[in-house]
Amino acid sequence: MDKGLIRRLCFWAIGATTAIFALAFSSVYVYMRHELTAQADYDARRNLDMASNMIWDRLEIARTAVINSALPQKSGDSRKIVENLLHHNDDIYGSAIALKPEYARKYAGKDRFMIYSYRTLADTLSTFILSDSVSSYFQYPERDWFTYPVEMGTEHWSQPYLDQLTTGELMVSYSAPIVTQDSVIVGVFLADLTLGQGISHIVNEIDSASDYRTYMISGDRQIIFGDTTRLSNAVIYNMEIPHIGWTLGHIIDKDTLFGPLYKAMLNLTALFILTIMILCIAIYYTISLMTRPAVKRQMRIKAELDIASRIQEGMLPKMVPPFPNRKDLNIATVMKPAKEVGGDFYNYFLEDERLYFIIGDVSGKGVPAALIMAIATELFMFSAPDKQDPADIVDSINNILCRDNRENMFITMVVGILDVKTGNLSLCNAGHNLPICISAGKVCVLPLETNIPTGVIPSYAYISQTFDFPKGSTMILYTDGVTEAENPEREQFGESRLMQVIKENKDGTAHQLCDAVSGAVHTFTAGHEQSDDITMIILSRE
Amino acid sequence: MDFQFKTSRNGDDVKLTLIGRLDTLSAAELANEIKKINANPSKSVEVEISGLNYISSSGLRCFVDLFKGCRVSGSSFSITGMQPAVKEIFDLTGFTKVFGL
Repeated sequence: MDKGLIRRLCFWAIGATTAIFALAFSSVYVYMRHELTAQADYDARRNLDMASNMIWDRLEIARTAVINSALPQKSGDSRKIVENLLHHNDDIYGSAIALKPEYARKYAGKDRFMIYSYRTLADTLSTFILSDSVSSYFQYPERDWFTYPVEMGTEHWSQPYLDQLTTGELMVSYSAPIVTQDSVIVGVFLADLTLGQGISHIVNEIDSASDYRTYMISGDRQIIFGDTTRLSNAVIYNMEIPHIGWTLGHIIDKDTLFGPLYKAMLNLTALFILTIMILCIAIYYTISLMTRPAVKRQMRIKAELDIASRIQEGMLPKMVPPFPNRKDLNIATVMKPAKEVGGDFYNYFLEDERLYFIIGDVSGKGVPAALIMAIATELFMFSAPDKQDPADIVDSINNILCRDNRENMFITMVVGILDVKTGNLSLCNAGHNLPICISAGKVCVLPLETNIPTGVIPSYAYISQTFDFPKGSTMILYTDGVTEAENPEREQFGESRLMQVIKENKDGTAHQLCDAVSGAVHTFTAGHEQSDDITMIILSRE
Repeated sequence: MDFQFKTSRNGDDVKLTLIGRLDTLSAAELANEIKKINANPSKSVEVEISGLNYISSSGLRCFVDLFKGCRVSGSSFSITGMQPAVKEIFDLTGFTKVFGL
């Protein structure tokens, strides 16, 4: 066994496979990575958009409640207003009205005035008024929630904070200035909103439906909730929630995001290794099979037969149409050996307005028949020129064939000479199938004397016959491969079917007839193995 | 089998009986038998073919082999019991004339 050859073939096979897979790898990788990123991007934006809208909707409850509240006209209104706010808005935990010090003095006669109402754990309202320095709220004029609306005249959202006193929940405060009818800012209206359960509910819903983890960061970079650790190998999407300056973010692990990609790559790698293994095994087996002596010999014989087949084809006239310059003569031929080479043959040539032609069938088939066929066709080409009588040609062929015919191979043949000008046709039949003639619209078997096959009896006196072959006539010469073609039921095509096809196509050209008969035989045999060479030569005079 | 043959010797007379289809494949078997008959010359060779229903050109070659063998050894050669279908093949191929039937 040729180890070097196997190694070389394996090398090339692996090389080619690797190249193809590398291409597949990279394109799948690029494509999937792009798709996964785009999908994750889309999902993240949608989720964040939804979540931030929901959060904002929630925050807006406090804002709307404050904006819709009536403004205090006198200090006595304040309690009612803050308590009303809590009454009507379950999500608001506390509400306050605080006045600027100068107005506190004006309305309440003290340096501070702040009324604060909040929900107790028992869900009742507790309200207190702050006007002295005892309370921790005393410093309210310095708090952001107060100074911002008072000084800027605009609303303010606090950073979120944990309410450790009562609820233990995340809270955020909304505050807006209290403006009198003559546009003077007198104090601040405050609403404390619990964020806790509502938002974590939203976030949990998103997180459980996807591979994302959601976090929220306040404007001063404090983590409100969520986990932002393990940022090194993750993809992050951020979205700012309007008005409050908080950032809502999604974090997804790269391993999770590109999981399908890594899985596909793993599968491809497995496939790649499997392919290479199968290829190498296949190469190994094919080579070892091919180099086995019997197979080697069989392959050599097959190759030689293929060459022989081409040589044999080369022996037949090749021109199609055979005589392109002649309108008065048409020849169509077909030869289909049962094996690579066959014992059927035909030939023709034109000399001095006379067409010499031969169709022959060597007994048997395959290589022995092909060898005799080669001799016969050359004998015809060699002996025919200048002869006036086809019987003389057959005589020559017969005598040479008989000279040393140890295998007793014989050849049946019809040899003819057609005077193309006059239509005078001489034929000599050496035991061959009788030609079929189409003349004046009639189809008939030529009544031709049989003689004996060539190669059997030396110096046999062959005789020929002459016929009139007027213009418009067609002659079909064929070998018994046509009539003895068998279908799967082992019925033969037979002469009657042949005659029928010819009758149906009697007005066609030589080529059309040839195709019609070949087609009919092909249809009849229905794929059954061809047992004998099939040969036809159809000539017509126009 | 589609084809069977039997050789019987009665003194100097040989009778070869063929039954079935004599095509290329069966002709190869028969060729060996004919080689044996030719190798042991006899006074007469009779080929009985009343059971033969088809003969291909390879089959005809077996007959030529046997016929030529008989001519060389001087035996008489005859074919008997020919069915019309087979007779037609012999006629068409001119072997009726060759074998003087």
